[in-house]
Amino acid sequence: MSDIVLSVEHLSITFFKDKASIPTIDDVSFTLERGETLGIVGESGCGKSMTVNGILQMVPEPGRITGGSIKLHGDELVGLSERKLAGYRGKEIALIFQEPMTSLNPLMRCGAQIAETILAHDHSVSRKKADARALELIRQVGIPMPEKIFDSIPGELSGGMRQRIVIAMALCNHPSVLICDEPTTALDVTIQAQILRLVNEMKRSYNTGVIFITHDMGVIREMADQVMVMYAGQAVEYVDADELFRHPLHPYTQGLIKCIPSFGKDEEELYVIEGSVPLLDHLPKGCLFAPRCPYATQRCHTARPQLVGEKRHRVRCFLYEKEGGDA
Amino acid sequence: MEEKRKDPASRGYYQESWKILRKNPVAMVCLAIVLLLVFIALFAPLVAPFDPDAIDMPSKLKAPDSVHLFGCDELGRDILSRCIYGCRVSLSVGIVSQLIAVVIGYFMGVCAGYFGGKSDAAISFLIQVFASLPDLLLAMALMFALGRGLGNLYIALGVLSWAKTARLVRGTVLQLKEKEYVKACRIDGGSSFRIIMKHLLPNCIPTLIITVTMGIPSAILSEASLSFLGLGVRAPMSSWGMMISSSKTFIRTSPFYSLFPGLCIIITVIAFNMLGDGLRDALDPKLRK
Amino acid sequence: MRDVVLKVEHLKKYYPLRHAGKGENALVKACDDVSFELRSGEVLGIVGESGCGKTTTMQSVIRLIEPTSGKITLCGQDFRSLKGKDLKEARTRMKLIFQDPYSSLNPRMTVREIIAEPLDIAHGCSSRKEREELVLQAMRQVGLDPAFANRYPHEFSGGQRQRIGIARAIILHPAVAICDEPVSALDVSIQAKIINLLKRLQKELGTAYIFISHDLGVVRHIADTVLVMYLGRVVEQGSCEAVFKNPLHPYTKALLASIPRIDSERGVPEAVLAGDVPSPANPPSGCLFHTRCPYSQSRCETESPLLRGTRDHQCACHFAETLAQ
Repeated sequence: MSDIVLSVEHLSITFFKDKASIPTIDDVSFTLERGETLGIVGESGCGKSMTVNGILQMVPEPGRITGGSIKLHGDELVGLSERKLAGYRGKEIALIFQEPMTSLNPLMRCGAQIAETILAHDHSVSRKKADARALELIRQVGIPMPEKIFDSIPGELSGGMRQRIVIAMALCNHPSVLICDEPTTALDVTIQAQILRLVNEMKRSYNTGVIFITHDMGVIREMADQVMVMYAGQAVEYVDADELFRHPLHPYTQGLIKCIPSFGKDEEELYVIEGSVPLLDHLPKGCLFAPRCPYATQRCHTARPQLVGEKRHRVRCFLYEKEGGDA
Repeated sequence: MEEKRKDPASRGYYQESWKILRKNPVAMVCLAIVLLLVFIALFAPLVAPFDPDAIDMPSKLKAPDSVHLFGCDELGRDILSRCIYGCRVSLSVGIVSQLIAVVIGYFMGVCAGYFGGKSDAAISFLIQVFASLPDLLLAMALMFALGRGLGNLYIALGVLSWAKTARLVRGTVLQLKEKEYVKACRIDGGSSFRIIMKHLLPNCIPTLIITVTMGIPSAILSEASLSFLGLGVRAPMSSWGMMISSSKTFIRTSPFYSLFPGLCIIITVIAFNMLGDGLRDALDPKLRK
Repeated sequence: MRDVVLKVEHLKKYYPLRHAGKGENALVKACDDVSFELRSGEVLGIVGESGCGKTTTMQSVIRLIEPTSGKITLCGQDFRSLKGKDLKEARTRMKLIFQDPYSSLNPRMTVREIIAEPLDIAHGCSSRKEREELVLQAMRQVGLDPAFANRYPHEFSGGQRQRIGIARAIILHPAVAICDEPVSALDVSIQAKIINLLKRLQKELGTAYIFISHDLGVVRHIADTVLVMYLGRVVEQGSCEAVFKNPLHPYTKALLASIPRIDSERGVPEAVLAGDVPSPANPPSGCLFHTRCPYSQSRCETESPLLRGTRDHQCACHFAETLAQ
């Protein structure tokens, strides 16, 4: 299909420390289509952000991409030189972080920062045109009084406004892929709702593919078309969002959904997933979730399951290995 | 119950720091040099081959040979032995003056940072005054006022450097004061004394260790400068600065005379400075994983 | 009815504004006229966005900062007038559980020292043996292995650190424990454990909680009564049932509609608030919420609404009755 903008296949990232190799991302595959949102969900330390680093080829030392391929519009990114990659980053693939100040220069006026980003990737544009486009973008992301904000420095803005500026900056070069790494975690709920809506609007008007990383199942519910649930560096479930909440298959996904205090029910005690996410340098031998899994069998503790199931709904669990395994 | 970490033995902060420091070869070499210098200073009479004050006119300004490894000075005294005894003066001046500085500095810094308000304004002003006076000038003035001698040297150099420590402690305390464990202690009704001793001091100690280590070499240099100017220890006592001072007349004819005490100062200062760098790396929580 | 352990009346905390510009209020009203009652074994939830004064209110209640005015009655005593020994004694009855499990534990103290600190300050034990006994008991109560007593905080995960903080808070069996966003720094699966733990302790020890959180789902789960704050003022107050099932204030409604819920349909709900929370240094006139309120009318811009309604459910909105229909 030509609609696929990004396809990641069997991505593996390993950290080499003190002669030990620590698998940080293990065999992660997904595809992203234009105008689609892929949600990546999991607890901290599950490798959500590391996957993003892998896509951008910005794995911090002492980590390395040890396998797999990342194709953007069919072009292989793994192994490209830094110079060529720089042409993709910020232009074809744009990033929004949790803390907007990490992507903003505190001393530079907002409008100028957006214009700079435009100029960095397109030398044919004049400064004047870039400024005009920056102003237009500021208006587009729903900032009141765009002329005033154009001349403000980030420190004068609220967290929500800053995140809007970052979104404007990310979109200024019409990226094919927009990666949002917990963009609303630091914001209040009413502001979060505004930003989530903005991301959806921008996705529609720019027809970009969005990768949305979050730990919040509720946000996934609102944003995602496809969902990848990650656990300890592996994708444990990969499914479209409606199906995920209707029939979660993996015991970890079921646990994540069940342990949220819900508004409807009056439960006395919350569901709990026993134990905690394993440290990456001390992974269990068998299924990574086996030590915490209520359904774990002897086999789960000794062998690692593969992703099984049809293309629409894949899960990494022995329970579903045979056809017709029920939820 | 939940989330057990594997490693079975509990390790405190300083054990962790020591582990990091041990992996730093430069710092370990410097630590060895510092320990050697301390050993030499403590056991000077046993280490020194000759009596440092024994005058032997016939061998005056004798170049280094197998008997007098570092040669002899203008009165025929053994330069090696004088350097070894000088080590006593220099190290003790460095260490004692810095300990004085740390005690004054911590107390002042805590008063300024923790209590704030008027005491902060007053102490900060005092720190500014001390910081704006030229070090050497102040030390000279103090030595003139107090008179020469080892004890006065300790005091003068200690007074000279408390302000730096106080400023660092004040900054650290301002940060620590906002920590939730300090608030928790206040909510429990803990006294200021308890907070200062139980919560602030243990968390300031890394800062203090680093300031002492980094302060020692500058105190040693100041001592050398003062002694060079004739404001250091009294005559028969030897110090590296005094030796350089008396050697200056013979620098063309007998360069070894100024070379060896000079080398002693350089090695000591470098060793302390680089050890300080290593300690900073090992003790700074931000550089931890 | 159970007895009231904490009663707060007309609590105010105003900060003077140092560099007050033209047209700005010289005072920041971080907490303005807050009143509530807490009965033994009950949970009061306080919700609101950042900057709404939740934390200031609680720090004033516990006298970490001195409130500007108001009355605080703790277990029948006038808490604000207490001094010296009496204050120290009263402080054993009200404890705070912090949000950040990292900065709330002194990294140079062992778990034993941390948990025992309130005991040491209150001189609560006669012998070392008794102290040790109480520490280990507290550790067991919060689900920590007593074998870890000699360890330092950095050897524990976030969830375990929060348990240490809770053990420290409950060791003296306080009547009131104020939990300031106790789970918002934790992962969801750990959150559930800590909430279950707090609920269990509430039953076992009969502690009353004030539970501050921006997560309405959590508050809905744990609280009996709720207080919704906006810019330092209470806009809605009542039983958890009433407020969540039938929110009266437009702000509460918007807040509830903004939470991403897993049981909703896909897509972000339309009824979200526009704009930011106004600066507390320069609050709007009249009803503080009128700048963002979809139902705002001219009366709202001039007249500040009072908190009114039944004992079970109060709301500060001029049009609460009309909006309810």
